[in-house]
Amino acid sequence: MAYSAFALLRHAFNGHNGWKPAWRSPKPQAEYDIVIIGGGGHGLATAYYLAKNHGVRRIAVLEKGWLGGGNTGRNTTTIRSNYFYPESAALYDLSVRLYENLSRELNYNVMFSQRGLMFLVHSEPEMEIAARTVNAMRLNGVDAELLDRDAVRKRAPVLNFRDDARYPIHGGVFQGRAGTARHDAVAWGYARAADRQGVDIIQNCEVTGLLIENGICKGVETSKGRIRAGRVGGAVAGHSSVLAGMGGFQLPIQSYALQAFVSEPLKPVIDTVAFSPATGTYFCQSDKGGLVIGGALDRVPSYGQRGNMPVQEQVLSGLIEMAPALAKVKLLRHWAGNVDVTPDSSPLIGPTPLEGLFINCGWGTGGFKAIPAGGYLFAHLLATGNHHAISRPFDLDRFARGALIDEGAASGIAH
Amino acid sequence: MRNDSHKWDAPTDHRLPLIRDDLTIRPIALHRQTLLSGPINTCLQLANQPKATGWPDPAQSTAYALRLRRDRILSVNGPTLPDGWHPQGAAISDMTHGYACIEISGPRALPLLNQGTELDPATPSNSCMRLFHGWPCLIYQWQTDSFRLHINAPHSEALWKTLVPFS
Amino acid sequence: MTGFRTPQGGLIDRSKPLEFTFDGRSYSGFQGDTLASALLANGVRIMGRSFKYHRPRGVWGAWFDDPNAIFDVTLNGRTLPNCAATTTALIDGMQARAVNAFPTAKHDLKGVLDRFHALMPAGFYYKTFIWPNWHLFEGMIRKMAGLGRLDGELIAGYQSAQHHDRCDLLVVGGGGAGLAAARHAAEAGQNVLLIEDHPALGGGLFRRALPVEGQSPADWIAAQQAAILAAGGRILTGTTAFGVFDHNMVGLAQDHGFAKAPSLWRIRARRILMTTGALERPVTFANNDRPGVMGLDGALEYLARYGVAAGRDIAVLSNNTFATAAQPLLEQAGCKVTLLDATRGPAKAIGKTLRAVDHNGQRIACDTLLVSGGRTPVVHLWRHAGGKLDWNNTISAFVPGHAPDGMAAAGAANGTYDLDDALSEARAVALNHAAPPARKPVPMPLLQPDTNSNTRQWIDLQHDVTLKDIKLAAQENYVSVEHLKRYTTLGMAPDQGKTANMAGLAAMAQLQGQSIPETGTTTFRPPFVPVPLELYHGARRGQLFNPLKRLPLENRHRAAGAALGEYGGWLRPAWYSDIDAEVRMARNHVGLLDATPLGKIEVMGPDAAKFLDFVYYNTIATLKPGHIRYGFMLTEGGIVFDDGVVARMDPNRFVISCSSSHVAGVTALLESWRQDGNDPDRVFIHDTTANWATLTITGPQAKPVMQALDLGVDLAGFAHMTWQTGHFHDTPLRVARVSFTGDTSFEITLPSAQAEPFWDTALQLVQAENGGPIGIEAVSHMRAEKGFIIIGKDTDGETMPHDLGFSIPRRKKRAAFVGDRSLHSETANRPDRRQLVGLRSDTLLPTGAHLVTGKRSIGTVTSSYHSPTLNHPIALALLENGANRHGEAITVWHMDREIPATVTAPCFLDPKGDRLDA
Repeated sequence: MAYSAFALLRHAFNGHNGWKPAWRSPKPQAEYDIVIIGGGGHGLATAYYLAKNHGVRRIAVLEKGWLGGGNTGRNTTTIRSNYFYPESAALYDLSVRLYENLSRELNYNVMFSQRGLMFLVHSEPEMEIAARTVNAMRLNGVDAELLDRDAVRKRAPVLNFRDDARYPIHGGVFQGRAGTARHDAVAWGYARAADRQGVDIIQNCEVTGLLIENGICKGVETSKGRIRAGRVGGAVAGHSSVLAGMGGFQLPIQSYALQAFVSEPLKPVIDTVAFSPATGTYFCQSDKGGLVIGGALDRVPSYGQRGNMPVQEQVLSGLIEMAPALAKVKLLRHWAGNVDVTPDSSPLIGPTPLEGLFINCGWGTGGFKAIPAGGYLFAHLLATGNHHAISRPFDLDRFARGALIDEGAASGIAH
Repeated sequence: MRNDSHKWDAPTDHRLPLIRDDLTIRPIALHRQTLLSGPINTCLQLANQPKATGWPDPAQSTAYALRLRRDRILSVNGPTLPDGWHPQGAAISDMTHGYACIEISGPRALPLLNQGTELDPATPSNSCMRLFHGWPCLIYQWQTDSFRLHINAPHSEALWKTLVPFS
Repeated sequence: MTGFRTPQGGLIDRSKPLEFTFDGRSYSGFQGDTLASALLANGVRIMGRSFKYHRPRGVWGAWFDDPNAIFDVTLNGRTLPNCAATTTALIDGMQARAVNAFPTAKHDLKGVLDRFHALMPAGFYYKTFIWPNWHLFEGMIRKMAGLGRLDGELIAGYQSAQHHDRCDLLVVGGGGAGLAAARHAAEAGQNVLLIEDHPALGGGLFRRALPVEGQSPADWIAAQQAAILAAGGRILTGTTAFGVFDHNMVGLAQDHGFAKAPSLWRIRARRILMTTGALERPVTFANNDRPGVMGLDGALEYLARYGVAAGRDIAVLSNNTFATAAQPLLEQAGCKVTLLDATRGPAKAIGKTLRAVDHNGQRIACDTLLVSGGRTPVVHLWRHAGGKLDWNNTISAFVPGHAPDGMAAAGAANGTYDLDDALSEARAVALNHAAPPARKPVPMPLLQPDTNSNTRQWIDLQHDVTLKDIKLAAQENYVSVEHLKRYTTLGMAPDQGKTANMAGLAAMAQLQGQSIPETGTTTFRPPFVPVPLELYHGARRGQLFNPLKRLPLENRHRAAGAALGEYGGWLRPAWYSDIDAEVRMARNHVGLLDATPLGKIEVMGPDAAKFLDFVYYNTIATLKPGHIRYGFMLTEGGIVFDDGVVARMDPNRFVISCSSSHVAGVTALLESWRQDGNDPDRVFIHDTTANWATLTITGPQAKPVMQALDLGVDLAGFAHMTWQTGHFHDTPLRVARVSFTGDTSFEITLPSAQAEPFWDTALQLVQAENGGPIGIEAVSHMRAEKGFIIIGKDTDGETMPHDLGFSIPRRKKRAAFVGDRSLHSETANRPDRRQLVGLRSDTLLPTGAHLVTGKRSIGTVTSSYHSPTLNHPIALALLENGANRHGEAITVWHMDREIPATVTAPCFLDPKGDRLDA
């Protein structure tokens, strides 16, 4: 049942009663070729690519809540590939390229808006660091421009060009192909497309343990019974440590809360995404009109993903410094997600010490932009048992080898 | 490189006290400030003090000690001690010029402090270290109706600038 | 017929008329009106257009629960977007415009969109705009979305004050229950703070319009208020509790009027009592969004507070006895009232301009339809704090269930609607006693929406979500509450579903054949109502946003005409006259540098040497007192974290002089390692940087200047990398012979109180030798000429000490140290590691350029200057296998341009170091 303007018109005539479910609600089978734990963007994308690119027939995605209800539904929706290291550029730009065609491929409008993304530059030394990044990107084949102050002003006049700005704007690093997408639509689009390929998406199904026989992971125990699997892939973000515990190993990840904010809806205020390294705050505007705002990690643990005022003040005072005209705009809602951070702020994709169990996690604050690439690469790993060339550098073994891909340090922000 | 001289107000060389009916803010020149780290009793003994002030019990006399951490005090106007490791088992550093001290008194003093941090006489604390408007500060009660703040000297300009418009 | 002002009544001041405009037309109102009440009194029905379909909308409620009347408001040149007309107090001269309507709400050009509503069901944009791609349509959609318009202007003085405070009992909501509870607790000796978001106390007592414990509402309210204040309680009106945070911290926003930023109060409450009331619940029926359809409570509020009757010919559709109680009040105001029982079948509003309602087989003429489908307790704060909700079948509502620590609820917020019950409950709960059982529950049967009808029935007015959309969501399997909400956008508008959530849940429950509690509930997040971003601003503005540290000598530098800049968190002299001139002066004669930000971290104790040996790459334990050693601190990954010099004072005392921008980071790292695996009583870290000023005298004439200064040091026997004590007048000081410039250099450290007199003396003597002050930029040039690195500029997140030419400890140091194992990893042993080199070129190389082989990056240019000493460009870079490539030609790549260069050793000037001892 394809989506299209024509179909919309056709269905309008019979009161839209003919639209089919976007996905089934199947009961789990006793056994699958591959079981994916985690029904967020990465898990669903993995299932889709497993079916589509690798012809795997029996696939299940197990989600303990409702699909897309974790970080996929809570992020600030930015998509970019303006990274320094070639390994990261390959990974994140694969994702951008997949996003570019995603709506058509999934037949679901994910509203990928390539409105560009700007890292503001506030001083001459920062311009030097910016040049280093722009050059790296261009050498890696990724689009990047070094903008001067006037060029930044043309793109985002709402930013702070006042004489008394604490952090004057010298220029910016601009990636034109970067932008935003509707986060729920990415999850739902992949879910629907995977379901159409025969993937069983089992919601409200919590994995309570791993089925381990002779030291090999052969499936999972769940709140809906035992499910056997040829291979098991975990894509559970902030719960990865719990999953690792079930498998008897540890992962080098720490979980933190990450707060996000949305304002009341306004007529267009900013047409791009702006990030200020000086304040650590960034913002863009959703297609519904609310300003979507994000900032640095909240490193103080809190009850129930609430987030507390000190970080809110830090992020929002940073926003007002970036764009003083926003002071009178009203905040509508704020929330937090649980992000899993690795020592080098790069993801973990690869086999685990437990044979038969594979992991895709550690995306930290940047998982949403990588959903298509994460799914694509994880599918390759699960289907073949081997890394795709692009995911190999992100294997768990990089820490022992000393081959960290430290994008945090590469960003040049003083530690 | 950019010349930012105009973006930062020149420092006020002599900060005159600010006096209103219900609020006085004035800088305090302390004769001596000495940082001592070690087992707390050793530090108190070297500073010649029976106890170290936290919150809310006030510091009373001209010489007193402030509790910073489990194993650290700031001796104010205490005996002269040589910098370095003391054989009785404490580390000592002169910080007479390292902290600027500002005294705030009057009925509006506590509400003014409560603009920058949560300071409630009914909630005691062993240490007098606080974050005031986000900056590390020592805050304690001084005699009956005053409070004193110690801030890292390089940040005192910013602190003064914060207090004055709120007054 | 439409609304009108009653001849008497209301809390408004009829002696003070006010003028204002709405959508360009002039109207009058009174002091005490809101924009909404004044418009209603003027008979204005259409106050806005709906978000998606641009249907005409009237006002539905009288306070924050109204979804429809949202205006951009201008007064005295200040404009605020997205003002709720129901909560915006009327001020003389206000100009209001309905958002999202053009040219006016009454005649909106986009109203024609409603004809095509069939093409725009929930989620239609997911099914289309796929081809050719989203960008073609996005611009148009974005312009149609959004409500208010931001004018980009700053409002002078728009600053939120912030306060902390505490109390024993925070009572949120000053209606009957809140007033009773606050008084009872205050008179029992508790420190009570009562807050109320209306300008006046009283809550629902006005619209109820019946005596309260024998007094008129106004008298009773005044009596409670006086008693609370007399007992030492505090009351804040115009104040909203917008969020509950960890450990019973409650955020309050205190209103100060139009275009003035509200104040933020952070209240630490021992107990929080939620007496926030309950909202009117809409009824779902055909065409229920027509102007003239209003909530019953809202209409009674307009009557009681503002003296405005919503219409003349009123039908009331409800499922509870509040309607019966309302009838005499409306009739007294001159309205004709017909009561309709909502449990007796579906209704249908008739007429674009409401003229009748069909119900139960009858058509009842009316110009206004007031609805009451029950009440919805306002439990948001409860949920912020993690409290659970229970379903109460009698009143068909979610009520507070298991309480979070330190929180309680009473009155309508707790599902207790009868006033006498509410007052008893509030008084008991205020003192933390068990509440007596309710004697008079007010039954409110659950109204089931007619899901089989083909009519348009609104669920979420603010986002134009209809019952058909809920059906579509169910049909397409977006059945969980979160999917339902996100797919249909129910509850995601600025009103966050205050009047829509329950209707949506009821519809989905019915479609799924489940009960409402089985269907679920959504999460409530702060803020309870939208609050300006300014509320969170605090003191972090202008020069107080990450304020720079200031030098004790700043006024001297300003007097000398220095250009000041931000370096490592300090405001420092960048240059005084001209960078090149300063370099030449310092290289040929002598320069005076204010090096005060250099860290002075004392590490003391019997274990200090052992500790530093562990934390440093280099061996520190062998450093003799009086001597200084250059060293690196590494991360556990073997990456260079900081460089600096360590001076040994005596067996138990070291002073670390780390890079000025890193002092806090180095101190934290040292302290962190101190607490990990050491006896904490045997080593201590003191950051004493703020106590000292450091001045550097550098250049071939440094020694004559030192001679003239006569600080009491032995200049003849003063070896490089040693230190001595001395004095300036009566002040003891330290002098170290270290050099960051490559020339003879003395660093004098003395108490910062003596900085100015010392500077004055030293400067005179320096000038006598044809020298002068030099800034940071000159020093950066000089150190680059010598190949001295700046951490974070000439090193990156991968640089290890052996990349910089320091490889002996890696090979030879036996004692365990931080980062050791990582220095021998596979990656650490690679032959193509990026190593520090120098570059020579004809033109100045851009910093940040890459070194390439073909299109592959093999390094980066980290520092680049025109050397005034050597009169040609110099640069430092990190290059793969760089140490083995001196003399090679290399290609530098910058923004698609290639520049030739030659690899050299990083030191360009005086590699033997003769200048150190000129």
